[in-house]
Amino acid sequence: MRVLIVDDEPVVRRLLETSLTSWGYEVISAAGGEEAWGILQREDAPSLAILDWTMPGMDGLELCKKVRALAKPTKPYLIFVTAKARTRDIVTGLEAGADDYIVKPFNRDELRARVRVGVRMLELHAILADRVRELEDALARVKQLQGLLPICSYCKKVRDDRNYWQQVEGYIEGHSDARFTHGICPECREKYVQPELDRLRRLRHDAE
Amino acid sequence: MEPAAVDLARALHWVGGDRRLLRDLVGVFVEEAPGRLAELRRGAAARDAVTVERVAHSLKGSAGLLGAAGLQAASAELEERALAKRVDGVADLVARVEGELERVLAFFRDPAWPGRLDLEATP
Repeated sequence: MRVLIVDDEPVVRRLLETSLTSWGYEVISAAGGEEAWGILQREDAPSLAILDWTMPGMDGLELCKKVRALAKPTKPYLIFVTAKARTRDIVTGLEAGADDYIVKPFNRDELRARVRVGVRMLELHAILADRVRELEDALARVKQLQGLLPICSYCKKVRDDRNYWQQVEGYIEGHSDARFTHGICPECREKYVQPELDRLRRLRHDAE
Repeated sequence: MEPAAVDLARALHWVGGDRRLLRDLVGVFVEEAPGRLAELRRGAAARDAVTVERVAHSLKGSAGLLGAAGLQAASAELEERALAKRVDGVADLVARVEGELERVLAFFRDPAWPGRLDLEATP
């Protein structure tokens, strides 16, 4: 998994880079808010970001708000790692949309555990998103078999969405998972098949 | 006696005992320090509270990580002053930060410092 590290302080950035890399993450670094904002808007943006708060230019709080306002289906998991340790800072950071908050100087084991929580959350989110998509697809197919279907009173063909008339079995097969196996009902056997068999028998009799 | 500029046991704590990582971080700090100091002096001379606050904040963070309590405390004080926009007459405090930074740099510029890791940081 790819992780974005945003910190203007080179020593802290190096500590984060080395730690995350040794834990098996692929690391991308940014030294400021503007650079990070550019990375997070990309199509292939990392799904987890570790943000410092106090930075020149765009600070972590503004970056956090901007990321949360992004119209993307999957939002990155954001962890503040900052020296701002007052309770009201922590509340402000979390209310701005951060998922977690760690006070500097941080304990490496705690950071590692919290990053893992983020990964679990992202995985859970991905599973749920897949399930929702499957259900939406299923629902869309059901909907296709609802509503008013024009049918010919004589030949029983139905008119489809693109204005073509087609056999009812073709229509249903195209709009659902149902498949037809063809047979003959007793009434139709009596009405159509039996007279035809009788006719063929007569022909053979006449020929003999 | 003046307390040591750097508490190596403290520094090792923050890197989870990883000595190579600590040496790496010290390298980054020593390399960045002159630029940081110049920026701080410029900011203080121009009474630019935003710059002073930022540099002080940054020094405070690095100092904390590297176990440099004196530099950490002086930077924190300077950051508070700049945050309150009281950068007039801040020269004494800037000089204190400079002095503390010089002590930390002197400590780490001594090629023998990694040897002290074993003496000072053995649990």
